[in-house]
Amino acid sequence: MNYLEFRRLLGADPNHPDPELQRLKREDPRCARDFDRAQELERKIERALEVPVPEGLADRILLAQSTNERKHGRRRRQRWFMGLAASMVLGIGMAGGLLWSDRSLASLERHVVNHIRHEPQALMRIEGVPFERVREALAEFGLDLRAPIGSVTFVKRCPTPNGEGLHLVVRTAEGPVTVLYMPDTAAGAEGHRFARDGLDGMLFQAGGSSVAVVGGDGSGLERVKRELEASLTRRQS
Amino acid sequence: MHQATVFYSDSVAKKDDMSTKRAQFEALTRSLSTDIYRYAVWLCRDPHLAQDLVQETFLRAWRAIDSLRDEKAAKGWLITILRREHARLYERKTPQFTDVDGLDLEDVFEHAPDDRTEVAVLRRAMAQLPDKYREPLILQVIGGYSCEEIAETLEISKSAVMTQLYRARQKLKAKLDGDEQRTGTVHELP
Repeated sequence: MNYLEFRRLLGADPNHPDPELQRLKREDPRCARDFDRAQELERKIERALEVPVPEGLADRILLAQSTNERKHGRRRRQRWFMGLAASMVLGIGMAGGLLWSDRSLASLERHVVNHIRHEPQALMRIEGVPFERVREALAEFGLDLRAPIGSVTFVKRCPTPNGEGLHLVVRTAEGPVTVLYMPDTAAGAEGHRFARDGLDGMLFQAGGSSVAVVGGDGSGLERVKRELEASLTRRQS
Repeated sequence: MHQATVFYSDSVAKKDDMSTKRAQFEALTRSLSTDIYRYAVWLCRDPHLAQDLVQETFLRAWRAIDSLRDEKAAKGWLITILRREHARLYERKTPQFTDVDGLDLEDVFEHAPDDRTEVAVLRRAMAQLPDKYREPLILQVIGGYSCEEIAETLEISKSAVMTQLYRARQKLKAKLDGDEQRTGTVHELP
């Protein structure tokens, strides 16, 4: 190994156990000096890479795992639907992102109701949208439907509190039911029922997003919600 | 051994097995989550995304814990899972964090913009290193990978790995030396 090769190996892998490198370090003062400098730089690089770690990270990982484990008996889809709520809860403390409180829920309710009121034509469609089209629209948000959830008569991207989401209308015997998918919003781990401006609704968590199911009559809502729980899932890559 | 202890009911055996697995997973998490998080941060340069990636990685690791045969290989195994999860993000959407010039070190690593300590200078330099230099370096320094292992992971030749590692260190050293010349002072590590 010549001096140039020594320097290149040192630069690529300062802790390389190559006996030739060790020998040159012992016998050649230039190599010894270069070795010391390389080690000094390496300590600085190691130190720089040691960025602060969020407090309680390991605990949160373990909590998420045991929460996940407890819901193991339920269907996988439902676990995703609600089971990440625990890590969502922890994520709130950690990232200060998706805070939920009574006020936030009320604000989300208002958004949902206003959105429906501002798009009355969505409730008037009769013709069904092909299932594949519904799946395509959901795919843009990393979602999928394993089976149809009834007759979907309206599908449209729409503004939501923290970006863009999806607005669907499902025709039921009891009348149209609106489903709003709102990314990066929080409905809380247990879900939330509300009645506002003549509409009945439910808000619940799906991963880091929330879903609103709203209609004029409670019985249609439950069925749509059950069908969503059974069919809505995260798209597998 | 007493005869009685040889005969376990299925449920007791399963419970013991689950307890062992959980203990193994807990030990793994407590010993490696710091390194895995740091690896994730330097891979994606976004601490919030890094936390999501780490959370997802360990959840997947739990589900596949039976496939981990050798505990010494645990760090590499977790890094493999994390790299796969990270790659999936790029499949789903265009990342918003590739604008390195817009990367605010203050947000990412809690350094003030005028912080000229060696740690801050190096972190800024590291964050600005292109992927082809940064990725082999973090696999080596945080992951403890050999050059052969890095070559296999990144699917490039060993000589390419060594060249990239050499250049990465040269660039970092140049930033440190350049900062020293500009300010006229040497900011030693405490």
